[in-house]
Amino acid sequence: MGLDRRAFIGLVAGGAVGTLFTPIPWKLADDAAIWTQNWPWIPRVPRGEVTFATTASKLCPSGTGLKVALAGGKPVTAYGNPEHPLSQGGVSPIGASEVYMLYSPARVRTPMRKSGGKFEPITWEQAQTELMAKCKAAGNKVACISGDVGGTVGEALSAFLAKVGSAAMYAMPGEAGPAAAGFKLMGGQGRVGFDIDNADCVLVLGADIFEGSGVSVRNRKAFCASHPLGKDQTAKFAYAGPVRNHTGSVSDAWIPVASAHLGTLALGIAWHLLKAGATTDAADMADFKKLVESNYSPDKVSKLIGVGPEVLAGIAKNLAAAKAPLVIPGSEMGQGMGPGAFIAGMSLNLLLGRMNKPGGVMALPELPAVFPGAETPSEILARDLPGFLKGVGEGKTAAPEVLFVYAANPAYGLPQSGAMAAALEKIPFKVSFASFMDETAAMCDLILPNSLTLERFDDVATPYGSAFCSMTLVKPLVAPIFDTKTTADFILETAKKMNLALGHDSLEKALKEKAAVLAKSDGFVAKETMPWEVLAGKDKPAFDPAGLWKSLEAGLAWVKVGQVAQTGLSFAAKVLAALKPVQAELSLAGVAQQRTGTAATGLPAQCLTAIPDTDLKDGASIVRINAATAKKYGLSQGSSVTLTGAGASCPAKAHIAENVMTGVVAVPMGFGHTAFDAFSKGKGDNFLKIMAASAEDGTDMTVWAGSEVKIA
Amino acid sequence: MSAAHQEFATKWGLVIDIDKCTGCGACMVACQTENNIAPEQDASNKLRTLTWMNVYELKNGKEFPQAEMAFLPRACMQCGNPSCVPVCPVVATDKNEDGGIVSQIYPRCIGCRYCMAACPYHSRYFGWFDPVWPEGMEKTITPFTSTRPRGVVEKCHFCHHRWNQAKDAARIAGKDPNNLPDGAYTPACVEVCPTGAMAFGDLKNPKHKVYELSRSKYAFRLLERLGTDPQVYYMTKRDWVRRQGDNYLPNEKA
Amino acid sequence: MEERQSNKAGGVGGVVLLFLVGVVGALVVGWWVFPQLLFSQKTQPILFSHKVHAEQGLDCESCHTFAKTGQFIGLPSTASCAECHPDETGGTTDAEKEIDKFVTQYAKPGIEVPWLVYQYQPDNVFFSHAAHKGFECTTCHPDVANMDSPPPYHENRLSGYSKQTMKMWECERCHASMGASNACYVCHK
Repeated sequence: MGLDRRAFIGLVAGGAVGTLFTPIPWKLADDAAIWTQNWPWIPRVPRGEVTFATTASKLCPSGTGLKVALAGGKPVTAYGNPEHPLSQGGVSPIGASEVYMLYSPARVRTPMRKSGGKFEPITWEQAQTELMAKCKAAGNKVACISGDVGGTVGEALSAFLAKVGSAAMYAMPGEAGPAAAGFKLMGGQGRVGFDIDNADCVLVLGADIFEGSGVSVRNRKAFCASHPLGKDQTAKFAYAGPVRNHTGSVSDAWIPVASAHLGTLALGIAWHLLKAGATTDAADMADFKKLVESNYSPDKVSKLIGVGPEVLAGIAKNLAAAKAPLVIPGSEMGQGMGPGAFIAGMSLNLLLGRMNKPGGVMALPELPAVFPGAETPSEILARDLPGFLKGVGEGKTAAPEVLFVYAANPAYGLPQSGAMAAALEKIPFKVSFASFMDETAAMCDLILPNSLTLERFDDVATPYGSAFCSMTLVKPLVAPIFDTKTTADFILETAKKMNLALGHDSLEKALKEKAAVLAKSDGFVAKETMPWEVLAGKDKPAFDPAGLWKSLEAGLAWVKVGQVAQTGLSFAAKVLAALKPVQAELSLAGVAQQRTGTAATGLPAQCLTAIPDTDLKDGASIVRINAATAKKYGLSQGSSVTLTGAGASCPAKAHIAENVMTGVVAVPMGFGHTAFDAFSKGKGDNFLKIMAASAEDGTDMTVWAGSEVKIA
Repeated sequence: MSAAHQEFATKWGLVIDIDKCTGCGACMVACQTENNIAPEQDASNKLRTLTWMNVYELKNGKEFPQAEMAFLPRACMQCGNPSCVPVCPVVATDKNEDGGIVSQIYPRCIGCRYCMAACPYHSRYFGWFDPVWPEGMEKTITPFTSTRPRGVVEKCHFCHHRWNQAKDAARIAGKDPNNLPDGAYTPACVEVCPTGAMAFGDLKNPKHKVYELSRSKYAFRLLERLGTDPQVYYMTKRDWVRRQGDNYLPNEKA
Repeated sequence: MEERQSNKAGGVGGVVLLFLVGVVGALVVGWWVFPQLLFSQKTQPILFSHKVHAEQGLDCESCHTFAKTGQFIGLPSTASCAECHPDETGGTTDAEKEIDKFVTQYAKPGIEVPWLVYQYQPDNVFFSHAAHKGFECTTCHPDVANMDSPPPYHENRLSGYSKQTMKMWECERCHASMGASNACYVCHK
């Protein structure tokens, strides 16, 4: 039958009308709308059970326990572990970034060997063979630079060095080194820690205790406890330093003092305490008294450091009147202070009778070692790494033949970093165990990547500044994502193959042994009772030694409240007498924020948004000077400046900020990376380049805090 | 579309002690990992970054050595009288749930940014770029908050998923999901703050600590005189900080 | 001049008839052909028989449980299935072959079975089984308890979702009738 036009139209019209009564147009429109929401280039959220597991952060120096959330067994985000004494739920930006760091583009995914200026992947067997050959040839000329000396892995490395006959183990600089060296010079026994929880009047000399210094999360929790919301505070804090940094911003008072003069300030306060009759039974009490009375009178100190005599008197009065005063010496950027300055600050604690008292300075025992032959952390920390490398660079000290670099980035993280990197180049064979392609790894001959925190066993042992001993277990939550190995296991295996067996087959076994030894050491597991409560007088809770490993696996910390009795503590008056701090016309004050990571981590990808545009903008570093300094040098807001020091220079832009002392340039630390990945590279400059390393009078240890700078 | 002041039986609120915030940024970092905000390579252009929680630096404006600093963490105020809700042409945002959290539904948002213009607190952020996760890092995406493409507005939601989780935990433990104890529901930022500067809870429940804290004489809210009725309170004992909470004339009392 | 014989009645009738043909044709295409084209049929990776397992004495909660956190684990993990099926049977019946397939492809390598979820919801939807505990499972899910093999999975070729995926209006309707809140964030994330 033929279809004429009208019939055809009728058919089509019928079809159209009929279609309206079918799902076709409505469903297609709806499904098309849903199709537009299926963005294939945006990842989907995971499905799967959400569970939590515990471990501890190895990238953050504050040693917090971590509570990691896992979706379908894969880690997705990390918080602080509320049951851990160094965390109580809090975590630093670095600890919070540990999960994302697993997939950082900067990760080294397989062992690498440098060949013809480029890195080529090799197998672990090949790497081990080469390393063994080089070590055998080097004999005892093996050195190690480590960013982690306190724990069981540090012991293993130290024991390895001891077995090959070397004592050249160095720690990266921080607060712990000058403290260990200074306390030793004072005749002190043990490692110092500060009981902020039970102190009611705290004078902080430089140390950024509420940002990155010491057990900074624990310090902040202690601060929180003494400053209950909406109520009166029960402890006073005063911060002395060249910049009113994060610690200074929440302190009750800021005493602007240049880095170089923090020791002078301390002795100026000591003058008042002595005048009021403070005395100790130290052997050199008379010498100390004479030294302070002759050289640190209020007029002399005031003129030198610019702090008014009434301010000095006021501080001394507050400290003397407090029930539990505490003085915490340190460096405003967490490194570069000298033992002499540390001793000067500690002298106040001695005069106030705060050694081994609740709310005072705790001298902690070292944890028992499970690798025979290992040096104690204090011995390692007291060594001067910048001084050593400076000597190697200048040809005064013999360079080692083999260098191990573990959890450290000395080519970036040392003062006069350019010169330090050049010194490192003199070492013929360098092995880096870094997890990331950092500046040091980039210049090494072998990179044997360590598995990251969430992929390995490890421990966190009594971080610097803690008022109590502690050990926290780090356990793997995922199998290594790439072809990486736990360095400690690699070292143990290598040592065995070299017939230098260190005593344990694996790190896990060594940690179990450590737990067994600690179980007999009169501590307890911190759960319902916290160690600072025991310091305050609460009864030590019951402890089941047999259950320690299980508690450690559950993320809890073994702690011990107990101090080393001091038998020969003195003021090291001879050292103090030699101190001759020199303040330059214009000096640097490093401001180290946790959001820029550490030298070994680079800028964590997650933390970049937390960096304000007053620190970094469009790839340029921004430095802070106050209006008075700006006027003197003809600068204004946004001026481009070139800072020079130690034979190097750094370009930057100026930001006028009044929280900086006159005559001081506050510089943000952690920028200027030339390695890692796009998140770290090309952002600002590394101000350690221009920080001159010099020898402290009286101790000869290298210092660089508050070094001179010139504006070109 | 609700244009008027909304009041519910529960009122989730934050109380932030400015005198305790050290500006470390742990809250900012925790918020990002919790809510699947992709890392940004150049995060120094603050007009393009996504910072649901953002920490501002406050200054007292005095010269050295009287200079003082403070830090103010700013999330979303979850206003009782939100400026953003009435202006949304597609009702992608609404304040219609008990608890008072202002919702933001990404598939519905057309990206007109009218809400951003309306919000006086700069709490809302526009996704200028598609999120780019470095290879492998997309495995760290949490199931808690859906991922967003470019072109939609996003903001803090007081980690609403944690409230859902707390309610579910209460349900299977046989407890009342609508009467959660203090601390059962805590956003990520509050949980990780090392200084404990933030407290979170039901502003209407006397058993929650924010009830008393929000009524403290030291508590104030930002731009209160606009009438937005924020659910975020700040506390400070410092007058100069308090004065920065609103546009006060020199002779006005804070 | 020729008179054009247009049989008005017949002509109109013809148009009307074809119109009706069009309507009916469209209805058939729309209601029968279109769904066939739009939905593809997929089968589950393992032909799991709920009936057999129920006969073994397993109740629903043995495999579909609530975690302590309140999260509902609807899909049992490979590990939990492997508790009873750790090794191959080596048998020849269809069931035994299916068990062996599970063991070799999923249990031994430790891979999760990519089950096709009939009620698959988009990423931005939050559904709380704990809140809906009081309802029978079959209120929303097909009654698989008495089925010997899983029903076919119809995947929408355009949107990618399952035919059985409940849309927002269904949830809203029940919420409204039960007096539960229909606020956005109750179900979205």
